[in-house]
Amino acid sequence: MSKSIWPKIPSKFVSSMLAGHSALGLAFAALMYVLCISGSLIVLTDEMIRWDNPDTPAITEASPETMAKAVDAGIAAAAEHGTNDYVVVSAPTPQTPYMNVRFVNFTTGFEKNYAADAQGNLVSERREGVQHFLEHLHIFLHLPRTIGLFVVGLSGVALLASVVSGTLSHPRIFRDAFAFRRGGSRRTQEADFHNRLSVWGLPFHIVVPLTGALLGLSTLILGVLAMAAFDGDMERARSVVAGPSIMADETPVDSRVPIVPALTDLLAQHPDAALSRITLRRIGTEGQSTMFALSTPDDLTLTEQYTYDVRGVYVGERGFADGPVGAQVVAALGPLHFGWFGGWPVKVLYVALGLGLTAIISSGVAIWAARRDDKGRAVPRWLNAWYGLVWGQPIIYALLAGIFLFGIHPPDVLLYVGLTLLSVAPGLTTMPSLLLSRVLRLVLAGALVALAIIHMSLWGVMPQDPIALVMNLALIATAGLLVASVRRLPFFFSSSARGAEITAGE
Amino acid sequence: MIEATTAITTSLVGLVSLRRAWQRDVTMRALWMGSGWFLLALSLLCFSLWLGGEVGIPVALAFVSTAALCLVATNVKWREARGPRRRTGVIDPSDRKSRVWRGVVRTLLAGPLSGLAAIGVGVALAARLPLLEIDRVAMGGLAVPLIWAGGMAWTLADDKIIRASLVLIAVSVISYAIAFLPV
Repeated sequence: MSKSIWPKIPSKFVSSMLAGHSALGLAFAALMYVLCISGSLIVLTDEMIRWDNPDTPAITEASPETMAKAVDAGIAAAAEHGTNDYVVVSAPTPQTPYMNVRFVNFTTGFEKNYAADAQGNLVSERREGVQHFLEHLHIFLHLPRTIGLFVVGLSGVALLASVVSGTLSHPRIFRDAFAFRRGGSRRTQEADFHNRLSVWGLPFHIVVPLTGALLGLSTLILGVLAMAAFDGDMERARSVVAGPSIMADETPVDSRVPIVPALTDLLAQHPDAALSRITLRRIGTEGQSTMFALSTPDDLTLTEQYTYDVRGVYVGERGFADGPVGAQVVAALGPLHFGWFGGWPVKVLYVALGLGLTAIISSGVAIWAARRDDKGRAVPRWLNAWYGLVWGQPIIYALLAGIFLFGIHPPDVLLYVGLTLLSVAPGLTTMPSLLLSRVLRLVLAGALVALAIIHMSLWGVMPQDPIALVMNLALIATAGLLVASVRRLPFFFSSSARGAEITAGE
Repeated sequence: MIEATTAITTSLVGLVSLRRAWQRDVTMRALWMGSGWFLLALSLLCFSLWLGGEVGIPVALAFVSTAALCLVATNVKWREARGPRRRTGVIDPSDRKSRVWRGVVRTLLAGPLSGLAAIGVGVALAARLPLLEIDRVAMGGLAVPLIWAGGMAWTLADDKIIRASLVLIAVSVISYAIAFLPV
């Protein structure tokens, strides 16, 4: 091979970077793993909601009149439950071919979701399933809101720092760009797997933790920036970031924005855009706001939002679509983080790259264990505990999803924490980690098939919403891949069971 | 359809060129490498023309990443498994003296102090950049996790704790002074 054109990175520098990378990775491994695997699944949030509610009437489009009727129905449902805080009606889109009506009581946290029919009538309450659980796990870790967001944001920073130190500690980043050795020494095998996934996924590995950290730390960052840049005026800081808002005023009023003419007018002004949702806050008060969110296919930002006050006076837009660069950047954080742009092909890419990042974290710990093993300081119990966590998480999600399908809602957080603690119990044993990994993969495969069978037995093989069939087939296909991975191992790694141990990220 | 085909083909040919460039016994390595990177850059343009700049570039990056990983998977080399052994010629993480106080100081540097410095720089940018308010806030906000992560990576890697501490303290003092002192 000819001499490299790149300057040689001093080995002392690489060694120091590796030490930092290793320390950071080990300290945050479990948190980063949980966030990455739940985040990879949350990319499919629309599909999971539809899978949880396969009997929802499919609607391809809703006229302004239908939307207005659904808004009225949502307001009435909220009033029945004693709240006027927040009502949002989501319009049908190609990704979400149904109409959703939701209200929230911000004081108590009580909320309900309904499906509406093509006439705008509320027809059924929508079920909260595994999507809701995973969303709260990924965004708040099921902790109190502010603390959860901070911990998630800090984990994002740690993941970004790991990306930086990992990249800098890779002296042959280009020369080895396509090298992928399996077998041989376990450490080389793991390192190749870890490094190839890391290097080629680098743009994704920078964007996702960066946007995640910013979303998680937004309260802290915005608070401090408000103090400095806006002389402590938090409201002004919020309005700069969140766009025009209407001051709360609880004085009762009897007027409301006439939805149909306002929406018709907006859609006429923006012929390329489609209605995404209508949101009303503080309904029936002087401080009421009505917001129309329109989406345009070419925009990375999900929607542009147009706000009206209680008398139907246009207050302004957030500038997400055509406003200042800063507003567009703020609005692009969520879509870029979750892959909610570009339709299902981007979702598929994001799930693949997200699971790749999850596997990188998993294999990082395996490299550490292999290094210890090479030095005669093996850590079989730690490795077993890690494999237990790695494979235990998807098994737990599948179990919870199955329970939710039956309409049973146990104290899910308690159950999740208990099962997660139980999942690391293999760390109490010194059983061969390869065997443990195989057993857990088979358990996961079984759980996924069982989940698909339960769903099909409850809703039929071809339920009203066809996405349910796609999801069930995906579950079965994933189970097939897991079984295949177990079946193939002895064939490819027959000479030494110990040396052939593979990681959970294989 | 033509735009989509061009974008996808350009990126795939670019990746294959790069793979060829990094093979062991290749002639005209520079040509393969140059054409590989050129085609990947061109594919960004093609995706932008197809899907628009805002959506096209992130889609291109995600596609190229995934396609490259598929190409890596086709390059797998199976070898006979070997047991654990002490290896030479590989770079290991530096062996540091493991003392509790050093661990505590490193944690403080990587966590609170790097965070403080990063927020300081973010605040200084948000307060002083000659831009629109929302642009200043966005830039300051984006700088915080980036600088925090950089500080975290560096302080955990740097074997000299005192140097890391002094730099972070200096960055914090300077940035908060820029942000809060009257101009």
